[in-house]
Amino acid sequence: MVKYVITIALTIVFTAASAHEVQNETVKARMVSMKEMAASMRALGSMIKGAEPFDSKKVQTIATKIAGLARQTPRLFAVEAKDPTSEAKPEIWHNFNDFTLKANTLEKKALRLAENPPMALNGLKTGVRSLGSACGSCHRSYRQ
Amino acid sequence: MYLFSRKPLIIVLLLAAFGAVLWWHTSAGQINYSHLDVLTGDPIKGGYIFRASGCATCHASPQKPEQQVLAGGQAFKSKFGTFYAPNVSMSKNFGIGDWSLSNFANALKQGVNPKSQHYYPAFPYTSYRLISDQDLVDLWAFWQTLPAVETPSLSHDVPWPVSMRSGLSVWKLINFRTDWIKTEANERGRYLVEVLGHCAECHTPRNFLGGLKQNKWMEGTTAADGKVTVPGISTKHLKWTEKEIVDYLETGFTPEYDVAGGQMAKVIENTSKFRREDLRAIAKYLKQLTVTVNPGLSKELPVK
Repeated sequence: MVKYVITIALTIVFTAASAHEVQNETVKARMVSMKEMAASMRALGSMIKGAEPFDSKKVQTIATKIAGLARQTPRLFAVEAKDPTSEAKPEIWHNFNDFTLKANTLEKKALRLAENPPMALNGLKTGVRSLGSACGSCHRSYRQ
Repeated sequence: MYLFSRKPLIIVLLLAAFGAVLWWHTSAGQINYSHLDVLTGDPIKGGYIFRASGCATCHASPQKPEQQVLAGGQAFKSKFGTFYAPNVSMSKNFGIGDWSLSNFANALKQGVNPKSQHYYPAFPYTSYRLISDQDLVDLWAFWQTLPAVETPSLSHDVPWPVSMRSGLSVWKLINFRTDWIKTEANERGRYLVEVLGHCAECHTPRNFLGGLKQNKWMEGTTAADGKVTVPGISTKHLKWTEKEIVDYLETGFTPEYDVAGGQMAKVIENTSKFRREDLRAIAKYLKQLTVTVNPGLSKELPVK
């Protein structure tokens, strides 16, 4: 019983604490989306690493998801919002057209991968590298 | 009583001597590097050195981030003021187009300009000073193939006393290093990381004078602008395998498939074009960064 109470108490404390980490709702939504993006890239990466078996169908699903996340990126960042945990640079809102363009590039690249999923690991490597350069070219200017 | 009466005199003499040494030291003076003239520069190899040294990362114009356009103008905020990367293109009016090889060597190895003034260490000559003679000559050969950009440099926005460049001689006396930090590390990796790549300039914490804390080599810190956290990359902090480090420098992907941002993304634009064996050497060096460092290096006098 005591254990049970402690567990619940700790859960409440930790949930509250993690909710406290990001206070700004706009920023929170951005971060959730970026985390999903990272998870998707990681899923592709684990196939390249051999931790997961190569699966063309799965690549297609993940690439479609990345395209969707890229599509919503400009909307998620439309309003300038700050939070101590945020890594977004203020330059985003000085060059919002460029920011949007970069998100569009990722979307296009991801769609291309989804429409034309690689049949072998080498193709996936090329595809992931191409997505990565799209992530990088945006992070270069707009992420701390 | 006898001794006491002489004390002021001794103090005056000591102060005078100190002043003289200071004056001698603050006049920067060019070192004669004419022995380099016998070497032949290879611009192709120099292009690789240029990339490995990340020259364009700071000197490219913020409007035109191409590697070749070295118009300068990027701002570097620090607690000492804001430094602006100067035009280092081949322009004779605004850049370094009229420099000799010896001028170039003095800039990179001594942090001294052709007018015998000290450069601020925002320019990482503290790292570059150990560049090999051949690499320096190759780099200069490449540099001369780059276009001239006719844009004047911006002047640094630094308050007094930082604005007195002569004070930098004392700074150099304290912060110059003349030897390797990790003497026992693999040679190529050590050269790429400690000299050309000047990784420590961001990844090592600085003392109150802005010099690198060599006993905290690559332990991570807050960037000079006071905002961005720069992670530690010694073995204490970075747990990636050598392969993972190589992959990161080549593709920008962390082992978790996150993608680097900001300044490191610019660094990766360079490292992604490095030779694979060089990336391996860098990774190996980082894995050799255990806690012990070569102590007392900063005490040595700079080459005068």
